[in-house]
Amino acid sequence: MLQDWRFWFLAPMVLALGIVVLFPSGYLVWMSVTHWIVTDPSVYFDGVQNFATLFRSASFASAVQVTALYLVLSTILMLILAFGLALALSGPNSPGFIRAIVVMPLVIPPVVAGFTWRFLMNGEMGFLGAFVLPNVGITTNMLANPTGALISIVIADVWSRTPFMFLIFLAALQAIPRDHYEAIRLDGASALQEFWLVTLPMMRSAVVIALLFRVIDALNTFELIYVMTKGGPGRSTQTLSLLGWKTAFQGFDFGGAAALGVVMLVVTTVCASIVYRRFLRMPS
Amino acid sequence: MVAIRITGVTKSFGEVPVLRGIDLEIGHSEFVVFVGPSGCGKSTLLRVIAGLEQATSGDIHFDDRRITDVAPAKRGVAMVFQSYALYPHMTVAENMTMSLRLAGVPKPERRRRAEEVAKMLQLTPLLDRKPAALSGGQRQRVAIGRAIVRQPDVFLFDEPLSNLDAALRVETRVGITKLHRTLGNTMIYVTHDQVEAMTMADRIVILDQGRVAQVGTPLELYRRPANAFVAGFLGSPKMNFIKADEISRSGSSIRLKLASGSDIEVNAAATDKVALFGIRPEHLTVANEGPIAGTVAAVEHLGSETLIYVETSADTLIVKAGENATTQPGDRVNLRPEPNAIHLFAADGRSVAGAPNH
Repeated sequence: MLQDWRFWFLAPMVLALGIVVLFPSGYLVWMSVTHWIVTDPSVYFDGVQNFATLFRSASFASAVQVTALYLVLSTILMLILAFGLALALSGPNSPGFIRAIVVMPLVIPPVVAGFTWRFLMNGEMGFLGAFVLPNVGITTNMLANPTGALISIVIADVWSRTPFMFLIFLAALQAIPRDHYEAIRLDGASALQEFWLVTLPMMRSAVVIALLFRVIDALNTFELIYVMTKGGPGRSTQTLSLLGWKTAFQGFDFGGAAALGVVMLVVTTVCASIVYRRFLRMPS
Repeated sequence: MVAIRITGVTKSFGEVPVLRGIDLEIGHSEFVVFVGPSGCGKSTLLRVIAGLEQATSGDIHFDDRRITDVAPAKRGVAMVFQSYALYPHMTVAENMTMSLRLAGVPKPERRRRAEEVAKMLQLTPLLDRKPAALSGGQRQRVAIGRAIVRQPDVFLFDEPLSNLDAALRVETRVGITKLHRTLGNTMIYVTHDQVEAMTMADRIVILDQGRVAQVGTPLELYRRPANAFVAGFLGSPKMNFIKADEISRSGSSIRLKLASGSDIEVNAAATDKVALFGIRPEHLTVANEGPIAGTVAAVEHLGSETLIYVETSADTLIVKAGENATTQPGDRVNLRPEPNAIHLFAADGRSVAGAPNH
């Protein structure tokens, strides 16, 4: 094996992956079955106690609900927006600078985006929160109101992450051969039928890949929410990743946070593999 | 089965003219091949007829019906694309009957039609497969099947054989010709391959830089090309051209000085001043004496024939000889053109005297 040159090409990568992925994952699992609270000097194996506590806690139930709501709302909005923008801007004559503008939020770090949106939504001096919204009859202070805060976060997230989905869709749209559209036009299809019978089916794998990225991305969203609301008011925008951070670094319950981490890992992996198996693997 | 009349059709993409005034009549049930080098406008003309491109000016009639502004689907045309354009997410049967589905034909009837056409093209066992599971030749037949299912008045083929290997191309070529005999539809076929044009067409339309260079039956075009472009385009290997100067003329005989250095007497009644002398490789023979002298540069034995490349002082000429040619590279040879097969062209490329007796 050591004589095979391929081994030496693979080895550094496997080693790096082991250090940054496999080891921490294993450590996480070990932590999740350990009673480990920073303020408590005794650290011991605790079986599934951390999981039991987690599943019984009200904050976990609410975090699942908030995460699901946030995931579904933002994903639907993003899909519609990204698809619409990609359709509108996929033509050969659509100006490049508009595409550039659409993609721009992608290069703004989530922390900066979060601060910007917090200022925009601010009820006393924000452009949106203090001027635009009151003028259209919305006088609620968005970030101070549970529903308003969640909506604000969804808006900020959609603004910041739609460009990525847009890029995937744009590439997929432009990869559909012109012949297919011409063939179906000759067959007598209307514009709507063209979209339904050619565009949509041929975009399927792009949509699935975009959804896969989106689900993983949404479950991991942290900075944006942290900066905008820190999970509040109350628990109204406290997603699973926020809850994990709070458990670990405010409650100092490393074992409990690790258990939550394991749950998220399992959920993400299961979701991803369902999507992968169901939609992406080539039929044999 | 319609006749097609194209009058004064032009097409520009922005500032770039692609078709510069096409006038053409295609008869009922005729098999017409558009041929020309890439960029000559043949595909654009086909797409204008299909309605996939709008002509900049001019008119197209199918029989007496003006279809210039009619939507592609309402023209009664079906097209076979070079890429086949099969929908990858649909089965062969669904691909073939898409037009019927869009026209609201019920499913059992669609299936029946698909099976009928599949039988004709030996596609029956493949009806429920997806295009990805088919070979290139099978996909090609599905694309043709899709066109047949529509029962169009006019079939349009846009270089349908260019993605097939050589053997399959010959086989499919014969298949399409047979199909034309069976169905009797008007068919227009675009290709850059002059062999396809020669073998399939009732009439060939040769296009050059957006204009019709010549229209005629394959043999007419081969024997009496209207200009040097047509003469050079049809025939393989292509016609040899030698620059020529007229020295004298007497009655039906012209004396020419060829650029390769020697004089030649040609029996022809040229209508204009001759500037170019053309002779096909099969009408040149290696002889002890002849007006053209040169050195053999290369010899290609193709089995049934031999191609001899002869370097003269001006050009390299190709001679098509029999299978037993013994000429070797480096030999000094003389070439003799067959007197009845000489083509003469004016400075602008027009034919001024064709090979009348050939």
